[in-house]
Amino acid sequence: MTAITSAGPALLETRQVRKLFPIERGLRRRVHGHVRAVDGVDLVVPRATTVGLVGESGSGKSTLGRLVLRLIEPTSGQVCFEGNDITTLHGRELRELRRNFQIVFQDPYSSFDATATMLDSLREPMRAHLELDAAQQTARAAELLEIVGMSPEYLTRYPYELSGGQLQRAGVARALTVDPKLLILDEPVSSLDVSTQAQVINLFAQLQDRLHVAMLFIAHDLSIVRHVSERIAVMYLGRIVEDGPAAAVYDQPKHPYTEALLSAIPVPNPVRQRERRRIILEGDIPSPANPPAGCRFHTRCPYVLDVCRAEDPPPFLTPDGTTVFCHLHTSGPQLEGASIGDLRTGDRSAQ
Amino acid sequence: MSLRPDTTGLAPVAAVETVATARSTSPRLRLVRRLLRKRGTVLAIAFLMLVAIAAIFGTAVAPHDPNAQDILNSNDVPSWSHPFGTDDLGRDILSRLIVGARISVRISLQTVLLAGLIALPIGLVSGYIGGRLDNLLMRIVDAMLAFPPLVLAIAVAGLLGKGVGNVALAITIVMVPGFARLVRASTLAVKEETFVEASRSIGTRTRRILSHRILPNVRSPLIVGMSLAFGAAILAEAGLSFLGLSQQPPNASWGNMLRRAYDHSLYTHPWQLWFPGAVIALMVLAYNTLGDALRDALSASQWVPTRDHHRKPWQAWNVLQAWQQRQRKTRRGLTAVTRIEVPAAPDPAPLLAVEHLSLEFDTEQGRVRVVDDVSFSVASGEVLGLVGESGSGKTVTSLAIMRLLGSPPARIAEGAVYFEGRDLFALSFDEMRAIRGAELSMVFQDPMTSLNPAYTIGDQLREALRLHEHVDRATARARAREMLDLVQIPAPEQRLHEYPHQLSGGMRQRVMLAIALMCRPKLLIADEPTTALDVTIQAQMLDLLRSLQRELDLSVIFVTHDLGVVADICDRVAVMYSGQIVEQGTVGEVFTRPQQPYTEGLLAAMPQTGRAGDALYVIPGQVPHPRAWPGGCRFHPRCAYVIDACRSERVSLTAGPNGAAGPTPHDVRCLRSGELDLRGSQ
Repeated sequence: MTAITSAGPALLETRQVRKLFPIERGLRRRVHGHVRAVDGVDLVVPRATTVGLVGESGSGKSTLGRLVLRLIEPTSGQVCFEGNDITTLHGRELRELRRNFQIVFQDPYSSFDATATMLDSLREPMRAHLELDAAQQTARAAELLEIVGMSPEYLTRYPYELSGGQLQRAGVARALTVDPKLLILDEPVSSLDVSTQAQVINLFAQLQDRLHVAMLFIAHDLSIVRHVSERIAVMYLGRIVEDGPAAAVYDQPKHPYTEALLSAIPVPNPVRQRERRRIILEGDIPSPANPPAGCRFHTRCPYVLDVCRAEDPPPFLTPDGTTVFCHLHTSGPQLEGASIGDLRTGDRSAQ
Repeated sequence: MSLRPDTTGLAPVAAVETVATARSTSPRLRLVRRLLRKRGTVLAIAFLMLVAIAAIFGTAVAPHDPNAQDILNSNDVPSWSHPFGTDDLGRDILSRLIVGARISVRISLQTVLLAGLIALPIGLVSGYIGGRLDNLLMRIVDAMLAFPPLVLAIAVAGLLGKGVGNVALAITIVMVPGFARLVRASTLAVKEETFVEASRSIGTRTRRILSHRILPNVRSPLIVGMSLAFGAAILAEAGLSFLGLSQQPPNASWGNMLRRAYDHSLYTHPWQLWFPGAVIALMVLAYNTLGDALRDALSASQWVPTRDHHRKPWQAWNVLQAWQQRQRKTRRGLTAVTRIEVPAAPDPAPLLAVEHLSLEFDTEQGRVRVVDDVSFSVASGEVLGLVGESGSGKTVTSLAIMRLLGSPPARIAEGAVYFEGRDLFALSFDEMRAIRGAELSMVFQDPMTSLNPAYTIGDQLREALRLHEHVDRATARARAREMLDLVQIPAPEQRLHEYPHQLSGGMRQRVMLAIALMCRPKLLIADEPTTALDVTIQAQMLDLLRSLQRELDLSVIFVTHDLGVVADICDRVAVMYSGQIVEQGTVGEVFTRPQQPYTEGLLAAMPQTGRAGDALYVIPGQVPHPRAWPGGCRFHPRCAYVIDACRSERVSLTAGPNGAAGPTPHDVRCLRSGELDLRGSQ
């Protein structure tokens, strides 16, 4: 269990949640193993907090987002909302619950129906959850657009008449319609241009300050989530490898994978970028259908120990409030919660 | 339900942006315009209207009583009083055709509309709900489709008895399965769209998702399918009528007129068969022409101005191009050149010199300039970064160098590209083909779509070589192996026999690089080669590219939007905005001491740059569409340092204050470049 000390009950908590997709083969569709997309994840999103969920493709971060929303059913484990298990809800109860969670998708173009106007799309959640007449719905839609910085004139527009950044902001407006307690942001800026990306990231930060909505910000880029998150969880092959306060994860990574991810992001300064010590990981991310035994990162880890190949690393709680799943903190160099970077400086002084 | 108080009346968190462009024409109006563009469609519509008038007014517009027999004037040849002649009983053929139109029109409308109406819910439910229900419905449909349609219709009509109504029912039953499959297939595709997922996550009821989200999106394919089925319905009715199952004599239908003429006049008065036969054929032709036109117009209206419109612009143009190709003959494989003057080659000549390149697209809305007077050069062994956001023209510039953009719509309006002193825009297709892939090579963003899934990696590597060099199989094989080794692919011998889908994204991109380098090109154009990759794989790829570039003394044009990647790998950089280069120089100079406000903004907006917790720097507004480039400096509406002169004066690219004095040129397009103190990346 991840030990997270925060005041009050968690808004969202997953307990050992697991999603296995069966691999079917042949005419009879016999099941030949499973893709372990999410494999036993404990994640906590406290009230009015933004948690960044970072990982590369195949890490299971988007699947986890959809599990939380109950867009797909978990194979095992629990998803709890305000302390109540929501994995067993169905029908009307589930629809009622969905008021509390809303999602913003990666591709703003495909997340709007091309045949519907903005007004029609913004009214959809109101129809499902609010009892408003047509005039009130229009007024509310206009107000929402203004909150995300768009003119109400856009209400009569079709999706193809808006740019990517505008559509993404409209997507945020749609998600805010029913005053959700939790926003799931699934790679919300990765299809946007640099200048628009900054606009949308700032919008999230402002919304959180003003509306006190909690957010689960899913992204593949650590530098993006750092700007809006209080906590960051790093995923690799269906598991969380490090979960802690944003500054601690970003500045003092405790897991070799987090360190490698950080060092792989190029900095737009040629002098610094070329002088930086970079860790280039060998090979590709292994298939989630056949994950390595022991620590899942051991096949690519530059610091691999014998114990990593055999044993699953237990959670280790560091003094700065990070939970890390890595043998390096208890075996071998026994970092005991220190940053992985300390290993590197050790290397250097030895040379 | 009350709204949470703190949301209502909340001041906007971002500055409200106003609507920039005027509302475009409604989709429906555009559809009609597109339909009427082709002469064939207009003719088909005119013919259908004529038949509709005949069907509605029937005997009122017929010159004679269609059933009045006149034995004395039987088998008359066409004349003024009987334009189509008379049949063996002396009845006026034209009048009978006019009255018979009612049967054909009625049957085609009734059967197709009814079948569509029945099939729609079956297909929707089957496709959206899926599972056992889908299995059951589709097996029934499959069983019905296993019979030849006409045989099934005859069986049904035989079972129900003769008569127009029963024949209509028979044809309807035969049509339902096809439509149901069509609707189901479209539903399955639409169901996977993110907006349906969005509706589900919002908590919308399934019934409403089906009626308001799925239905409008499967409508178009169903309409097209139905319009193409009208012709089939006419033929089926004529066939059943010919067999005597439909309209009973003496009342006329086109099918039983054909039958009567066949029985009584086939050898003596064959022209009596021509008229009903021709009317049936024309009617089917008209329906099908309209159906085809409708399909083209609907698919065009779905693709050209919708989603792709604001994405990478050339994607929309690709679709537009495919659409226009049917109208005009395309010049195969080479971008057309319509320049009037040829700029002189620079002296001394670098490896590649792009001189005053301007590129235009002929679109539905008129001519659009997408690249405007772009000049840059690449020295031997140099890596040039071409950066910009989507719509800046960076990719089309790189494609224009290779002359890979299709014409129409693309056209090189001005300029020249000198590669080793040769003007690429003056070459023939064969001359250009000899250079492409051999001396000038390209790597694209998406390694999956750039590799042919039907051939092995080895096949594709060898093909790249054998196109340009005459080598035997063994040599080609050895070279292919060697190249895979060079791009650091483990177990190259085994990989040669594998197909693209067996490789990971990173491996595929390495293979693409191996193919591009197969003939040892002097210049490699890499278009966002690492954008689709994960950051850890991107780091591997950049390392590989750097070592290969040094090893092979390769020149590279690296097209990207990621300034971090440019800082990592490029020697010089050209920043593009709205089709122009706004700043160019060495990466160190441009990134640490930018002279152009757009470059400063881009650097500051990078999430890597800002401090955590602080708001990111934002360039206000949007990248303008090429059709709406502002006058004066194109960046002025978004620029924080704008002065009046920026709005009106044409700004040219000049040597910046640092560049003129320094050892390498640093060019800037800004009126205030000398006086501004801009921040670079730290």
